[in-house]
Amino acid sequence: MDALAEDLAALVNRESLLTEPDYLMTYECDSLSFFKQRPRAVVLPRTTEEVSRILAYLSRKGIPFTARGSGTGLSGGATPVEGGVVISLARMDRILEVHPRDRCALVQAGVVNTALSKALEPLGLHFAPDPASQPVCSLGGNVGENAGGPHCFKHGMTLNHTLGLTLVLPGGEVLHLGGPCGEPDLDLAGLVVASEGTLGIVTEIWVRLTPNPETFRTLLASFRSLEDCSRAVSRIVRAGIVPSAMEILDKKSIEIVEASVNKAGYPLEAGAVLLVELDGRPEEMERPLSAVEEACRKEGALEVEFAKDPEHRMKLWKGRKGVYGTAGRLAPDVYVMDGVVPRNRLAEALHRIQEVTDSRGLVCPNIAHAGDGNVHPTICYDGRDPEQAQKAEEAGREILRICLELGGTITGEHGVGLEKLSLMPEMFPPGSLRVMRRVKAVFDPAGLANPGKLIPLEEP
Amino acid sequence: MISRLEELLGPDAVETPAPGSPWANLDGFEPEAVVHPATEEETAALLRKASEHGWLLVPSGRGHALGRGPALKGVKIVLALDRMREVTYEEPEDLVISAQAGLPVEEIRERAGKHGLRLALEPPMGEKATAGGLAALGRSGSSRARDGRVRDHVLGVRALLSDGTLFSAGGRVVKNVAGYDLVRPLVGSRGTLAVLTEVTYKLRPLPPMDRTWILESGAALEEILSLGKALVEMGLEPAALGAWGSPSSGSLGIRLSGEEEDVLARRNRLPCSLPGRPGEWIEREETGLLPFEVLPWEALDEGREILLRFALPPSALEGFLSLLPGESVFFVDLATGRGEAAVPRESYPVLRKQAASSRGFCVVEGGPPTARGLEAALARPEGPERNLALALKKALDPAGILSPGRLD
Ligand SMILES: Cc1cc2nc3c(=O)[nH]c(=O)nc-3n(C[C@H](O)[C@H](O)[C@H](O)COP(=O)(O)OP(=O)(O)OC[C@H]3O[C@@H](n4cnc5c(N)ncnc54)[C@H](O)[C@@H]3O)c2cc1C
Repeated sequence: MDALAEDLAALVNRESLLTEPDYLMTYECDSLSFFKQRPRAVVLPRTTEEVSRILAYLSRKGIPFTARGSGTGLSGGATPVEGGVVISLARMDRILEVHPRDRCALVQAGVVNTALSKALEPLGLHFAPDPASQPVCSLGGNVGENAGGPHCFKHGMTLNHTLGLTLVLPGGEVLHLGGPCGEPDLDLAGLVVASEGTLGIVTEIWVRLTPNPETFRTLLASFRSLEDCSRAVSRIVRAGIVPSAMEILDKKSIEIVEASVNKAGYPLEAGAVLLVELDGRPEEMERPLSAVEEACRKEGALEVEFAKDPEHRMKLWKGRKGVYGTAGRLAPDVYVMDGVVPRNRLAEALHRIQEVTDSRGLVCPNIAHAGDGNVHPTICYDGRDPEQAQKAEEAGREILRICLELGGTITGEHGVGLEKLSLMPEMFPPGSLRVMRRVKAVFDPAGLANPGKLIPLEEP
Repeated sequence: MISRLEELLGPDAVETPAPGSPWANLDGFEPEAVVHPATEEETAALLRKASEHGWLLVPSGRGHALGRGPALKGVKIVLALDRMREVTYEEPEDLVISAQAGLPVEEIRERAGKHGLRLALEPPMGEKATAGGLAALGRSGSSRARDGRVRDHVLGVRALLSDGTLFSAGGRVVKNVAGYDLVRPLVGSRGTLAVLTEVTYKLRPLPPMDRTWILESGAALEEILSLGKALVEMGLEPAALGAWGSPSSGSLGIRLSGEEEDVLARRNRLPCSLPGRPGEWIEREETGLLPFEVLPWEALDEGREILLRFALPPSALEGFLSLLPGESVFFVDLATGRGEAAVPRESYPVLRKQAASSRGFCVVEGGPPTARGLEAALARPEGPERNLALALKKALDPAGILSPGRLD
């Protein structure tokens, strides 16, 4: 054991420390495999006090660290930094308090997203943000990235469901920002959301709880083209309807899920399908549902199918949720993009994205949280072939530039991480990056918290 | 200073505060000048000068909410943004609008209304608000239960640091996690961190039906609260559920919005009245509870000493409100646990303590400047959280010229 390991072992339990190369390999990257870096050690604390002790020690030694939840991030946020230590929150997985009447709960950062909603089931409540990775990803990771999901169109992102948090600063100091009632003025907890572990480590979170909807109504509309399908989305938004989810799948996505175990009965002849879900009380469903149907028909829907029962609903969703996993079987590597465009530019964006990938001969099923204008082209490629890898990366960059050009952003929910660092100067004027650096220095003057993520360190 | 300001902005952009204008009396003193830059560049130039010379200033929209929250100290210049009032981006189909800071919010409402949309923020006394002031103050009003916090409606801002650095945060799309979300601390920062020059708001579709019913019972607080609690537990999911009045005589109001059939179905589930009391639910002609939300402010004008703003977990409201002295006047949203109360000055420490022990907060929002000193909103209690807020202020406003007194 080297000196670092010995020191860390003195701060936490021996079994909370990993230093064997075999174990460390698991922590080399998150779910974006472009970037890899072996950490010097991995620590798995169980309490806020342990986190504080570890960070105080690392700060004395000037060793950088990276917080890690479940490592499902898609932008390299939890990928270790050179010479750094990984702090995994996986063992901080206790739900500490639940207050059904006040609709909030206090959880440790390592609690898995669906584990919370499962525990709340008997109370008729749930945690609303529903990333597709929810059976695995942690709430701390959701806070780290401001994760969203299909139902965020109506219910909001992680930010909208975070009331407060406990933050351990890089020097080890413990802060309680907000709480069940939020903060009286400056929203500092809100600033920590989406900060990708660059301001400190979140150990506990006050989350807002949402009542389970009484009913769901789900429909699937198929269209000749992606453009028609996107126009239907704009029409629904314009009609003032707020479905809980609106998801687009393009032809390639339909083909691959229909050929897989996630077969959902999507029509193979369609150029795109739109999956729309409304939730709420039975009395508030009928008019919006027929308005959605009408909007789809006006944009030339080939067919509109309503989920007949809960099983049918699950089946329709299974297809959508299975796209990513299925894409993973098409090629050794997948690169999931995450851009946002104004919703009335969606048709144009999807069309141009397809041109970008087609022209490079890349297979790229396209899905979108259409209600939010959030596109997720999923580029399939073989990373062992340097030419393909380069094409995939180039295509990704071009797609994000299209999003910027249309007035959108380079990331809606997956974060900047390492992946999109070089695009930050294209998205923000230099003043913004300077201000962001100043903010980082307030929390982390020595630059030890996940350095080199989210904002470029140096002036370009 | 005046001549330097005139040199910089032109003589008609610089005035001494007109008697009777909201700028003539800033928390008990008169500033030397009110300036009205016409552009972002002029504002930046002014800020650079002010930083250089240490001129203390307060950004302002139309000045109507200046006497709220922590009292200002030693401000020399009011930086009025009222000449910057363009709509810079309008995309009703995407439910988004961007406006320069000085645009009256009324104009945003009008434009949105033409497209069947609304800006779903209705803070009390917000009729005179500007796009920038609404965000800087960060008060959402009683429809918060349904519509969320101000920070949930602001998609992005453009702003200037006190050294003139222009930056943007967020964007014009509804989802965006690129970089630190500086919008969050800026909303509610009351001009202490930066000068907002442009704000992008999310708009919402007008609900097909939006109605408000009130029950003017004259019942005592406990009765009102227990009925309110029953309403919450029935799962009526009101857009707002307000209780107001004094500890001995309160009223209740409920706002329901959504599909017509759904609103009426929920209306029909309302218990007829308070058990054993006369009075019934009366539909209001106007939607919302605004006239009742301003009652504590009116009481303040009528001689109550201070106005407190509080938030508690709803289950802790009863304990908190039971400590209000008899002459208090309050409005509280029972669904969110937020409210305001006009009370005698000496009751503040007890109420503050009670709120803190229930993990909520209670701060001084209105009253004489002397009461809005140290204990007021932006001055958090001693501790690492306060130090962080102060360090953030120092990093963004190193010269310390923005809204002195509010966060220092
Ligand atoms: C199949 C698949 C589907 C996905 N679908 C979605 C989706 O629909 N929507 C979506 O938004 N995302 C999605 N993601 C991305 C990812 O799941 C989310 O970003 C998730 O929030 C990450 O959680 P995690 O626990 O895995 O965090 P990690 O990947 O471990 O970490 C994410 C970031 O947060 C930081 N972090 C983690 N924990 C803490 C902490 N306690 N304190 C401070 N910083 C911390 C890390 O340093 C890192 O920067 C998907 C990923 C996969 C693999």
